[in-house]
Amino acid sequence: MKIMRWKAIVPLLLVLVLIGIGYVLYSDTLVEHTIESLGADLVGAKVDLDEADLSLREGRVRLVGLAAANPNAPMRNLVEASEIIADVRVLPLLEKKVVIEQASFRGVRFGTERAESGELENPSPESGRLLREISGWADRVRIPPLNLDALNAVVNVDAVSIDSLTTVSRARGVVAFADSVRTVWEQNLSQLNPAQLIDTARALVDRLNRANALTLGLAGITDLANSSRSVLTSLTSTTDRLSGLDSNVRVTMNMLTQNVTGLVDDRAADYAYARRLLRLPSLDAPDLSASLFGDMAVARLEPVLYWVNQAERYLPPGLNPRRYPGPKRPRRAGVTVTFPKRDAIPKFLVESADADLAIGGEGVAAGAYAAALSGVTTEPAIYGQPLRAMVQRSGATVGPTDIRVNLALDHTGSVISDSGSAYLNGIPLPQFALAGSRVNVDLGTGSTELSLARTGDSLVGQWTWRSNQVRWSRGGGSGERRAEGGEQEAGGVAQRLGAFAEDFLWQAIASLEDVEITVRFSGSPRGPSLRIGSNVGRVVAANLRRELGERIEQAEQQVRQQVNRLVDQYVTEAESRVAALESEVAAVVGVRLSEVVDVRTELERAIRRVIPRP
Amino acid sequence: MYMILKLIQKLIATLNSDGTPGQVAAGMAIGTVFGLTPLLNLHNLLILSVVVLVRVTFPAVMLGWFVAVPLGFAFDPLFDELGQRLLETLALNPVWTAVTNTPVIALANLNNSVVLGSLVVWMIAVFPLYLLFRWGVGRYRATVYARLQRMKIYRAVKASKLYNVYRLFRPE
Repeated sequence: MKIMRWKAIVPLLLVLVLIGIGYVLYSDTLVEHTIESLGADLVGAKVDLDEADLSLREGRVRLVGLAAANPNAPMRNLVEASEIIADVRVLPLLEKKVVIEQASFRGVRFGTERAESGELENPSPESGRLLREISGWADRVRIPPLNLDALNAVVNVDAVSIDSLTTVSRARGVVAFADSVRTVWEQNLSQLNPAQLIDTARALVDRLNRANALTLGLAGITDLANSSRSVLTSLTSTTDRLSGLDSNVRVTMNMLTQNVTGLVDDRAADYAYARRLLRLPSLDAPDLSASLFGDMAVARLEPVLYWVNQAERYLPPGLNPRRYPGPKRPRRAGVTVTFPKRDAIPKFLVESADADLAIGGEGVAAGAYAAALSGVTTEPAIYGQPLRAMVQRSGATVGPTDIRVNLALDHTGSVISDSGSAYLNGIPLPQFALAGSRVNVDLGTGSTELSLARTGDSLVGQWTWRSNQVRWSRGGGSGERRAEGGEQEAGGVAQRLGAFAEDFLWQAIASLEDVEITVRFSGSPRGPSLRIGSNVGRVVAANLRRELGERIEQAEQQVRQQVNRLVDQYVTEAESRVAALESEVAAVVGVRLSEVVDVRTELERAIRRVIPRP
Repeated sequence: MYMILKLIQKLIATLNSDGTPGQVAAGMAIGTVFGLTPLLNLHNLLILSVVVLVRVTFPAVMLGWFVAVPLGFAFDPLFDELGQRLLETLALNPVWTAVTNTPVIALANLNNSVVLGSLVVWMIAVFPLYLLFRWGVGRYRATVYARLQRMKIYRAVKASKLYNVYRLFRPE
């Protein structure tokens, strides 16, 4: 029987040709869907593309009308480009690799409005997780409330519960630990029984001192030698064990002493906690700045952290295999693992790209800007060069203004090393409500400067806003969540200020024309800690100190007394328990050890005198 | 509708009389690959080409495909798990590195856990499936089909006008 069905070759070829034609016909749609899908995963919001035109013969892709929604403000676009032309190398496509030699972005605009929401219905697990993590960080950031109403009311110090104070739980822990080690040490001392051994050794030393070799005879000397050897062995063993115990005692006592000393810091933390609980304002300027600008700072840092983390996700260091979600299909998507190979072509690479950015209108920021980008790759370790980006003004329309953005993401080694700086002058700065009040600030036109550096899992940075055209206003809804680009204030306590506090705040700041806000952040890229400073915070603090300092001081005094009343007993108990442990047990161990060592020395000396060495 | 009816007739004819049980079983065993593994992949195009060029009973391939489609969906978690284990096996890293960095082969999506897991399962199962299908087709022809032919209802349907209509669509 013939195995091959030769007549089928022509239909088969026909089918393959049809598949090829279908692929060519639908390749544009395929490119469009792929970009929209990958883009949505990258941005964490919808990415729309009007048209894609792929020409494999020329190795060129033309994308028209690309718009990526802002994940933090879904009714606005993060970025929009009217046309993108990319020169693609064709052969790497056979390896499912995309290498773009040169890409040009034209008509790039930022923050444009969208007709429909760009929120994803089903965000990818990874980008959804990252958004949730950053949002969780924003919720966790503790923004001290600015509340002066407590000063007009009787301070209810009874609200401070004993169980919520760190000092109490820490002091209880010290007492429990001291009791526990006391039991163990006493058991050890009792088992070692050094007192009895010391008495026996001393008696033996007396016998040896009184002994005479001539009168003892051979049998007597042998008996004495055996007894001496036995006691000496016991003394050596006891010395070793006591030394071990003594060393343990010293370390533990040192630790306990440190814990007792640390109760002072715990008490200070409890004062601060109680002050927050009772909503007493701080007179500390940075603390007030955090109250006033914390929400604004957190809302603006959220996208920065999101992109810092996305950079790690899409530009991972090293050559280890990477896991990505599989393609969407009716069947399970599974996991797609890529295996980077040194000296091979990266899976995705944009060797260089340039963009013409335009900010239209008559504003001082209006004009043309040029951006350049190089080394964008999913496998930096293979490419071996960091991603670099630069933006600068190429042509002004109005007013002197300055924009400089530099970015270098070095993921070529095993440790991530990112650095970036952005300085924008003459741009519209945010407007927002202060500390959840009806006092609004419009920073007007000013400058902003962001710098950050990341090494491994450590991120440090600073963001400053400066303006000398500040406008203050009162009114509107309380805690009005107004921020540039429709952003929402995130995290913290955005509560409505009382009328008294609002009046006070208004009087303190209404005449201020210059504002400088600085946010310093450091720590993990997924949840850094913040320090916020501002001249506004300092002014409000000074006014508070002048107008209300005495009342705040009195209220703080009450709080401190209440905390002291609750914790003193426990702290005293912890101190006395540790002191007793030191004098009654720890010191005894040291004394016993020195006694054993002394008696052992005496015994050795007596043995040498009576029993001469052969 | 006409195409579907013809296809069903082809399938029935294949089961009942076309080709030896071995030929039918081989076609069915090969056809299961289209149901067990995600369809739009390079390996399926390759196997389709083989099926077209080699004298395998084509309707049997279709039958194998239909039988395996629900199994494919049902066993996806297993394929995913197996595929992930294989892709995470350090000793196999050089293999996957070569596969994913070789032109054309890289297009086969073998670095996807479901594709790899299902393909490996099919490759292991294809011969046992062939034996199973061969036994099944033999048993069907010897028992079920023979008994069916003796049933009154079958003979009544065969003598009816409806059957004449059915014959009109019978493939040559």
